[in-house]
Amino acid sequence: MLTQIAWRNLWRNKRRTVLTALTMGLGVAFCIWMASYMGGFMKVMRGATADRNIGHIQINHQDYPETQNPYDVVPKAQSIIEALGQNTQVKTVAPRVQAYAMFAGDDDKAAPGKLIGVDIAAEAKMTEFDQRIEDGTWLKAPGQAVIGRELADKTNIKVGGKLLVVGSALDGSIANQVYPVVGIYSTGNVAVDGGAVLPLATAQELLVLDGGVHEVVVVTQDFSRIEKTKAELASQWKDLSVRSWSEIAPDLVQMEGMISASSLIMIGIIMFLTGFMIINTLLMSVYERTREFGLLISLGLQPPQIIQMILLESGLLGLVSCLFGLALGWCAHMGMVHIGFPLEVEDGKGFVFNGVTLDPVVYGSLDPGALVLPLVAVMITALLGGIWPALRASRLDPVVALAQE
Amino acid sequence: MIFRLAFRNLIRRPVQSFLAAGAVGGSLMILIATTNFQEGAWVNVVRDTVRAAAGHVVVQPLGFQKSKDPELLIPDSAALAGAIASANPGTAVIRRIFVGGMIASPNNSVAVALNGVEPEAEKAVSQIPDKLKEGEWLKADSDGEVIIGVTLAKRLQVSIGDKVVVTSSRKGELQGFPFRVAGTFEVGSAAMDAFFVLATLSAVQNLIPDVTDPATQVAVQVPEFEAPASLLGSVATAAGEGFEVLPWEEALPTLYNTRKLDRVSNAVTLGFLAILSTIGILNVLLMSLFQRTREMGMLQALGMRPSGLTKLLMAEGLLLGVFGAVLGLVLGLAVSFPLVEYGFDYSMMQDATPVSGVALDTHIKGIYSWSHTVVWTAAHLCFAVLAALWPAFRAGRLEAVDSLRAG
Amino acid sequence: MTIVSIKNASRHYQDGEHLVKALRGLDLNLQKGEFTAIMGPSGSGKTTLLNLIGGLDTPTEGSVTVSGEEVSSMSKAQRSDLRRDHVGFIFQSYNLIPVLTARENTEFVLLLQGVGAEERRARAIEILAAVGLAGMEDRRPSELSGGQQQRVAVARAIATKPSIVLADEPTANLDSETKQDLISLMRRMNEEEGVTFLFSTHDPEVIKVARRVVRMRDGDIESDERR
Repeated sequence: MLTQIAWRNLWRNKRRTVLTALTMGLGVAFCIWMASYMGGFMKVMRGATADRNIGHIQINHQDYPETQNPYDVVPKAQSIIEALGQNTQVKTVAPRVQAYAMFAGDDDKAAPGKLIGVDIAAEAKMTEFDQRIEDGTWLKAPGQAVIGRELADKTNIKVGGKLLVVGSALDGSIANQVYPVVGIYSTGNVAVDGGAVLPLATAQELLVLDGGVHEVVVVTQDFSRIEKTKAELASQWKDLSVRSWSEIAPDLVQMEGMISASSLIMIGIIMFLTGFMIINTLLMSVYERTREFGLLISLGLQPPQIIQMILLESGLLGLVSCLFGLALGWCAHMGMVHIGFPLEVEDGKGFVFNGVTLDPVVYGSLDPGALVLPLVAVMITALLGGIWPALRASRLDPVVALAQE
Repeated sequence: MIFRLAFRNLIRRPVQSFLAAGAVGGSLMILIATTNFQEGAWVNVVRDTVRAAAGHVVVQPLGFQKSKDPELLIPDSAALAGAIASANPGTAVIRRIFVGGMIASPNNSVAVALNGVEPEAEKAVSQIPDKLKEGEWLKADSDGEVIIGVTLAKRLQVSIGDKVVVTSSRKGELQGFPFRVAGTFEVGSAAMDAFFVLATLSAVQNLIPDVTDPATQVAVQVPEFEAPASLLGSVATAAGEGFEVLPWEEALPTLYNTRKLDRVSNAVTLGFLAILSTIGILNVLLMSLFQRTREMGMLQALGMRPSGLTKLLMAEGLLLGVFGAVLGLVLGLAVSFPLVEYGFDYSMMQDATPVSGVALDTHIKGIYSWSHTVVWTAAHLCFAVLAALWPAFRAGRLEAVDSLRAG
Repeated sequence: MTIVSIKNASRHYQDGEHLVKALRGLDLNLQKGEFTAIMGPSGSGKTTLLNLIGGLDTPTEGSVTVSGEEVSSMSKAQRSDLRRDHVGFIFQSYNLIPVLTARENTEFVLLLQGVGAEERRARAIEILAAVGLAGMEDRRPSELSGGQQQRVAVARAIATKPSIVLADEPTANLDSETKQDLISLMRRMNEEEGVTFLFSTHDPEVIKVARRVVRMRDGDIESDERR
């Protein structure tokens, strides 16, 4: 009954209710837009670092993360890969070799960069590296090379050209080989795009690694269980380094923290401002109905019930605001998904952020969980905003109130 | 009189008026404080980065800015720097050379960016001399020495005094040069601490035997934050033909565009807040219009023209805006004060993110950005007047007979 | 001298689906210096008539002339000016601007006319004294009694020396003693200052003092007697 009265009271002044709900809704919509924008941003970041490069979990020689010493190969890598292949939590697993080298083409132009050796099939399955090829094809056989877009630009190497790799081999000799370039890739990761990728065996041979690998990369079945899986693997191989992506790229985790912190601040500010408005609306409606409250009190309505009624009104106003906000926010999110937000900072390039080149346009991506906070905040603001008007109404003296015009 | 009437109408509803003005004031306060902090941060970032990574004006080989090709070089750079310096007294002219290469120890080899700098001149502008972890900064005669980041030192497993070999290519020829590690630095940026190597200009010049006194960049810097507009032209004249002469905005496009983008996105966000708070004014004025319909009818009966009612409502909106603006201005400056005086350290939250190759200071002091303060305040006043338009327009269209009949 | 001349005026309203004929082809002339009461039951068209004369409303048919100017052909702003310069209003209640003092209320129309501050002030104080409110000039309406508020309304209505003062049941909310005071005040202003009054009323006490009584019924004049 009270809910019904509250609902009807809310719509007695349609314009005011709509205006207030629209303002709060705009606030929610803005938060949703921001979540969509940040979500899109983080998706690119995570895609370029975790999904396409780091993987979910990496297993290294225990000294390797600190030193990246090429001598620190993973001991008994083959048996580890086989064991991981049996693990039900593991989706894909791939070994890698890493080193730095000087690269050059026919053009006398040389550039230093990162050299990665990968298991052709396993890597394609795990990080979809084959999808990142822009020109030419993915590696098909030992002895071939694919190179990053930036390296290609620096050295003027084209698909079909030759790549000269000069580095230091583990036996102390100079590693020096020429490979045909079959493809050019672009992953968004600045370090990877400035280097080259060789088939695992080819890289091992070049660096005289004798079958050794530097990292075993794992992508798990369940993203949310990564830390648990990592702990299990760590207890399985106590003398190895087992790290999850959040340990490998702490800046990414930090960035997510920063983003949620700034969203939180934004939501706080918006709610602070719209809070003024909701208090105002409810106060006005209480003032206007002074006489009516006098009547209700003289009919025997108790102050707690008056409070309850006004809080119901403000709660319902909050709900209507949420609906407006969801509708407007959905439109904003659709705009972000289809049109995107321009982030161009250099000709045709987006931000280079923590080693990741973003696209010049960021498209929206919304985690439904991001809706919870603004909606809850609106409801809390609405209910808090109702307290003062409710108390005022409940303290009216019926005699005085009835005498009001 | 209109204003007196408007003013009294507002103070007749003190709570409503205060809440509406408070929303405007709150938003203006946030805008002013945020902008002052942000602009302060940018002043720091731009000053540090312009000094450490470029100059107010830079002279580079033609086409270098686009291709970043390390083979492009300015020959006889000392003569050029001297000519520029004597044509522009009061400026500091420093030379740098950028080379890519591999650095190797017996344990590891890593691809790095090798920068050759003039030790004394660079010490005044670079952040690295202040962030040395071990060892000492380069000296004029320390041609056989390099300064490397702590992460790189770990990977190479070297410490002060150890030998490293720098390999670089010139015209397709690879050459290795031995260096001794003279110092390690830690600026807090993973990329810089792992991939940045500094040596003296003359040492790096030795890697390029076919060019006399080469440099990649001749940077001109002034002591002030902003260089006079004439500097670009006068440097270009002094440099003569055959070079690209760029202001820092073009030499560091990422920095410049990032600042632009940051300003735009701030303006969007903050402008949204301003609009949100002005809807509060609209609400209050509309409500007060409906509550006072009979009074409006009476004013019309007394001979006030419809335009008079419009003016009255506009005056009320303007006054609310002025209250809010004054409130916001006072609060905004009050909040800015500690930010400007003591600053804010966000190192707890984030690493020093490098922009254009310079790690940013995490302790940021705001500045009083008066131009923004004025613009934001004016914007709030304008919005308040805009918010009053609709109610004012409606007031002007009221029919006296109907209004008088209203309750 | 004829101040108000109404010829064959009718006023129809659309009230939902019903067409309400508030006035049905009414003729009325008012002369300068008259003190006229309109009486009649609710809905007989008294208020509509006053609104037409005051230019708050325009006739559906017929003509209304005030001080020689045809009201129905005027724009909204022109009618505002007509009221400002030629008509004074006294309502039943809510007469005063709540945020202005008695003096400021009295000055208000003079201000709209553009009268200078000093003259305005002097005139307001003089007139407030004449209506018996000397010493209360700076009180707000909420600090005045109902009778005092109506006196301020009278003061304001006559401050501009209008051609006619229209009063819509000015005594309806007053007790009988206050009512007498207000009536005699209006009568005195009529005699001493020559102000023309037209007021609607139900009140026999008020009708007693009127020198002309117009009785209305169903939107037309039933009788018109001069005393």
